[in-house]
Amino acid sequence: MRRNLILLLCSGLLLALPLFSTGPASAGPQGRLVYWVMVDLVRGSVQATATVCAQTNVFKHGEEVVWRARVLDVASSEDPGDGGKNLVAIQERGLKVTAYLENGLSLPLRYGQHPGRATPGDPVAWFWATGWKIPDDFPTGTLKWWVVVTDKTGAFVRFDPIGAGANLPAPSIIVERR
Amino acid sequence: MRRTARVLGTAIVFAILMLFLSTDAPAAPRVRVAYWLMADVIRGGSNAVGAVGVQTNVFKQGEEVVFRARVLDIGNGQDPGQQGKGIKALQDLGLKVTAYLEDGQSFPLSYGRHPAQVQGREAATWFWSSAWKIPASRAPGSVKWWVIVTDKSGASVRFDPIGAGTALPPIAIIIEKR
Repeated sequence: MRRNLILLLCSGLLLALPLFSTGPASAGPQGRLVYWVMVDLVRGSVQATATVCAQTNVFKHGEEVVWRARVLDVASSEDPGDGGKNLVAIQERGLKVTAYLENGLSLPLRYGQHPGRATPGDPVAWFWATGWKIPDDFPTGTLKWWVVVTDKTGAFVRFDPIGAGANLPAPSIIVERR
Repeated sequence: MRRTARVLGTAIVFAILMLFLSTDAPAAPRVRVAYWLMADVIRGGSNAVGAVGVQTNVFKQGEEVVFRARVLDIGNGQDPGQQGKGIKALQDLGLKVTAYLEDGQSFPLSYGRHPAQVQGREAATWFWSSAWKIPASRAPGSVKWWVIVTDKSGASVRFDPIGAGTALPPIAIIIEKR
């Protein structure tokens, strides 16, 4: 009888053991990145003084700063919107992508097809984008920016351009006189 | 004795069953991004005809393309090099970051402090970078680029600029006549 009791206890321990082993996989580090966020700036077509759609962080008054962001789920390395085929998934996740300027301005990015009007057969990409036309009277100088991705689960991923926080010329938007 | 063997056998079968049922691993996606990789190109100081250190993908012959990359561990959102304090960790990981051009050239990026020389309490940041001086004789046109991060464990993450592979205008490096 006593022997059986010991065996039952051992069995219980054996059963409980796998439950402890799942700890790291399910919990994950607190700072875990849920989304892989890539952002760049390009020159929009509005009153452009140089190549349109080229990457730059130097803009003239009246030009348009365009933020482009690609957001991938790190668990699958896939676009949650599945290249435009699963817009419902984006709504269900409550995915929001917002660009912020240090002057307090915030601009929501929209998930869409690029180029917007593609000729049938042309390859397109789906990503997040928004534009900001720099007012003609906007003060010249530099302007820090960043992009934040959030979802319904409380995920929060912030993207800062490379070199942000350091004394480097690249990270900020540079506004110049026309 | 027979009863004991039966109890023990049942316990082992249960334990094995629990091992299979309780672990998250089989349900996890097969493709998992190991590193959060962001890369951009800026104008280097050599023979520059425009603002140095600013983001651009439009260069003149003889100018210098600087590839910059930030690599974060997806598990904790941290720089494996710990902003210069974890150089050994980078070596242990066998982390390699390489920029590729579609013409077959490749450039290993090195992990370093930027700006390289700081004065007093000037803020600096650590990231990966490399440079390519465009030969003066290089034919004008565009050249696609991408960056790949690998490590000893076999992890491999590729970064392509946003819009690559589409009919969008200038995603590649654009080389113009000087």
